[in-house]
Amino acid sequence: MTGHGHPHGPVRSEPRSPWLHGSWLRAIWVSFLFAFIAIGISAFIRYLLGFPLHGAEMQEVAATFGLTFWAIGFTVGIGCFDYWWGYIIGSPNWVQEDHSAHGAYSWRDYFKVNTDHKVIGIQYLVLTFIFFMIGGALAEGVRAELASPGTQYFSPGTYNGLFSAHATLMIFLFVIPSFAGIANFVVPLMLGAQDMAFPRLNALSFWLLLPGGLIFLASFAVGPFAAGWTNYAPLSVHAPIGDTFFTIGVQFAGASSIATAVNFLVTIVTMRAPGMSFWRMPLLVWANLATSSLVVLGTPFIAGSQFMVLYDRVMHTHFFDPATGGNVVLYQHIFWFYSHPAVYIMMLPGFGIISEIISIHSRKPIFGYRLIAFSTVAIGVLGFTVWAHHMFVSGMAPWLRIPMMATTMLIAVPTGIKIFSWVATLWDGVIHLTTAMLFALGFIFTFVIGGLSGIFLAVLPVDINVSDTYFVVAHIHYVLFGGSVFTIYAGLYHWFPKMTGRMYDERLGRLHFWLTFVAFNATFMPMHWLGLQGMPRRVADYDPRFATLNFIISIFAFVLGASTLVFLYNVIHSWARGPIAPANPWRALTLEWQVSSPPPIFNFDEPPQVVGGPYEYGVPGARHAIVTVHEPDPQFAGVATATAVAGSTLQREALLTAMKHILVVANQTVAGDALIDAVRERAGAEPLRVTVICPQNDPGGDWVTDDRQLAQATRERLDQTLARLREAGVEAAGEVVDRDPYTAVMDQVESSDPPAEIIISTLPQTRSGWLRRDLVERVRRDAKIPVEHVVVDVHQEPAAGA
Amino acid sequence: MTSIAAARDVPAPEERAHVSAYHKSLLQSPVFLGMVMFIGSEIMLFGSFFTAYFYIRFSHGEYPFGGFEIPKGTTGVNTAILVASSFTMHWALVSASRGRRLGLILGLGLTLIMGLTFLGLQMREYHALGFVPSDGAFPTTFFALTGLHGMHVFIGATLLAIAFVRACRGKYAADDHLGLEVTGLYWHFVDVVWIFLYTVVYLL
Repeated sequence: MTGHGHPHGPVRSEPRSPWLHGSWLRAIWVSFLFAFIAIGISAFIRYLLGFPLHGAEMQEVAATFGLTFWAIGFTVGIGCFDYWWGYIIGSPNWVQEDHSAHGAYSWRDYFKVNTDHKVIGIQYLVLTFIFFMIGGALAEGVRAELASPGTQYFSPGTYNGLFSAHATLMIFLFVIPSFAGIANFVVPLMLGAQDMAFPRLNALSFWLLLPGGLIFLASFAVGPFAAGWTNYAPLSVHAPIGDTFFTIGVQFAGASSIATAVNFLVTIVTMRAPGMSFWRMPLLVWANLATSSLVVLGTPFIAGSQFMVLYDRVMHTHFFDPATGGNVVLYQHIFWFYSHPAVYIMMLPGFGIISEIISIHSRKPIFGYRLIAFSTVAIGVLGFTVWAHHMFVSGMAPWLRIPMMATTMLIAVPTGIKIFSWVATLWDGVIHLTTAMLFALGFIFTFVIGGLSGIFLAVLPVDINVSDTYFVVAHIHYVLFGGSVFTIYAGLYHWFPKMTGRMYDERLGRLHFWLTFVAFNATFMPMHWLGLQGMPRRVADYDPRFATLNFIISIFAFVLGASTLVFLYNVIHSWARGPIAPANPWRALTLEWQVSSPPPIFNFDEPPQVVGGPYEYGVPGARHAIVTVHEPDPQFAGVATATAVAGSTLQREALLTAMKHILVVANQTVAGDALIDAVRERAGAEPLRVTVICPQNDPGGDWVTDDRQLAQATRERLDQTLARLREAGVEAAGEVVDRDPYTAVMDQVESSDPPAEIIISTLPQTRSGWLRRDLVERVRRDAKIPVEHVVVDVHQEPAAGA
Repeated sequence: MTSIAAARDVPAPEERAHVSAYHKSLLQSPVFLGMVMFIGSEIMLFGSFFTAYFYIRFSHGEYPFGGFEIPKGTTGVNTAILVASSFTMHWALVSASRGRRLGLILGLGLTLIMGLTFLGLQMREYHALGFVPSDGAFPTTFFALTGLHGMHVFIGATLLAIAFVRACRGKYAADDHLGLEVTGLYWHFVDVVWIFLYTVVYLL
């Protein structure tokens, strides 16, 4: 919908009325028009059938049809269906490849229907974070009430509404869709695709989410749904009208989820770049493949269960009414058949994010790539066989208990495979404690605790004992906050530079992590103990003997809430004013890092050619992909141009970190032919990149020199060297350093990007100050990597040097 | 190449798809694959209602439990109409791929008419049954399953109507009718679900 012309889309010049074309204005009037028409028609039918047009029953009917069509009208009004409508009516203006709504050219485009997966990803992340804040505020309300025994701030009914809405928003509008947001941004890039398979369906998925969330929140206006996020029948069937809002809201969040999942599956199957076989896909893509399968197959069951509750409420059917032949436990079976796989829907993408981050930030190939991929699929399959472990005390068929206990414990095996693989990846790696990595490590710590308490809960006798106590609350928060939310934070920090083109503030990031980590554990760890002591969950009041611990928990819950503000400040401030991010700040191999930050609107100028695995960090000569970029972009300056330049097309290979790194130390001899030859000889054998340092400060020099003049001369020699190396096809960078040579070399060796080999170039023995001070021997002794000594006689090489 | 393609001025797919080559080569399959996965999701939605149906049915001895009667015979006729509509749909698809415009339009039209006839007869059956959803557990599952299916017939008929209008406007070609294939796939799915539903709910 932008007026900016670009080569892919038609230019729209004439101004279009916001009343009639996709806009917020149209969304508002169309949504309410749809709602009123739907209510009117249902009232008319009731009138024809002789039912009363007032009373609770009419309210239920009005809420059902009004809310449903309000939400549909919203998506119509905002413009999700304009393209399809043009297709259906065969509009002459309709073009199949209509890119007019693709890509953000200004911040306003983020508030419109947009088909660019990157825009949609950011729309998802911002919207879901808003719901996260609202859900968090509801949780603080719960903790405020529980800070001391008795009822202080909320009536028991409102309290029930608080925790119900808290869980609902966190699950359906934060964790699940924010993973969809991260995947939306990252997965097509990782696959080397230009967009998702169905960009318009993708936009519709996002715009279904907003009305779904607003319906949940609107229930507070009529008395919130208070039967918990599980909405168990028969409680939900006889609950006040707020519960209808829940059943409708879930349908929209679920439809959004299914549409996105179908989109991901088709994208992953059909849109992979040439050479991107399944076993070369990054593990985040594997995770989304498994997650999307779970969503496609599982989510219809929660849709079904909520339809049944809605029918029981509105049409007075008898699914869950034993008196007329229905069955109460049936609800739990159908509900948990989705909602247990849902916990893997909320965890598998996080596992994918962690696999990326652990490998990239510890500079090592991921340990057990295939096994992690297999275990992801195994969790997905096993996830459908464990649902009844939520129902051990429900009165279900007793024979189902032991099999469900066994499968539940079995699912710990693939999960354990992942944990051990991550730890093995960390082992002996060069670990960079960026904020993303801190969250990943914090995740492993908290998720292991959550996983272990999960095994406790799988064991029948323990589960019966702690059912509906705070032990369960502690477990769910250790896996959903310590698990999912930590991974979301890790992913947000990791891809923040790619998404925004700016670097975040590491110090604030670390502060955020430590506040979150400490406050999280202090909040939820004591709940295990409360649960074992028998404190029941979902009750506004409690026994005074739990008072002290609950008070402490509430204090830390507020700290945990406040830690989010640090994150929020960091994001807003860095997004607006942070330092410009390079294309590949983490020196990662996966494809999303091989394009600019933020990526170009159509991602890749040409499909990348994938030639190897995505995690070959530190493996000499290994490469993931060759990315072709038309017209060199200034942002790519300094990035590998390892292959020949053909016309205005640049080919860049995702092997920056995999290339052998050689450190060249030279000062006066820097442009000497012998040195250049030594480097060239190595470059012929394998891909490499070179860092040239010219140590300037010579503490042994006993005469006074003009520093500026000296630096200028060194700079010129260095530039000449770099130019000659690049001519020879060697990627080279270099700097003049203000250090003595030994310290300068060791600084490089101990840096985050250590060289694999060092070449020290000096004058002949008789004239070299460096050799007089045994530089080569000292470096050989201390650096513990191969050191080659090249002698260059500048008097015989007048062309070299100034 | 064919009569339809010649009769209209829509360029061939390779001219229309001015995106990159690799995108074009994949344009053929994603829509179809997406529909297959969506149908997988739909099967699970029916699955949840069939779960409720079987769960409630097997906790009762008799069937239909609660002493209700359902008309097997007249619904059998209705079933035959829906099954026949799958064949006319197939005829429409074959006609489209061979470029026979008349067969395409006739096939789609007949399929649409039979689908709407099915819906009409189903509504008539609802009216004549003598019980309503709130009468007990059997009416609950009966109306929920047949109603859910009826909703899907309605969606399928909507897709058919769109395809019909587009076919009349000459929007499909022998080598460009992916939208038709997808509509046909969905219609066959709706039909197969009904065969299963009729067998389980009415006959067994």
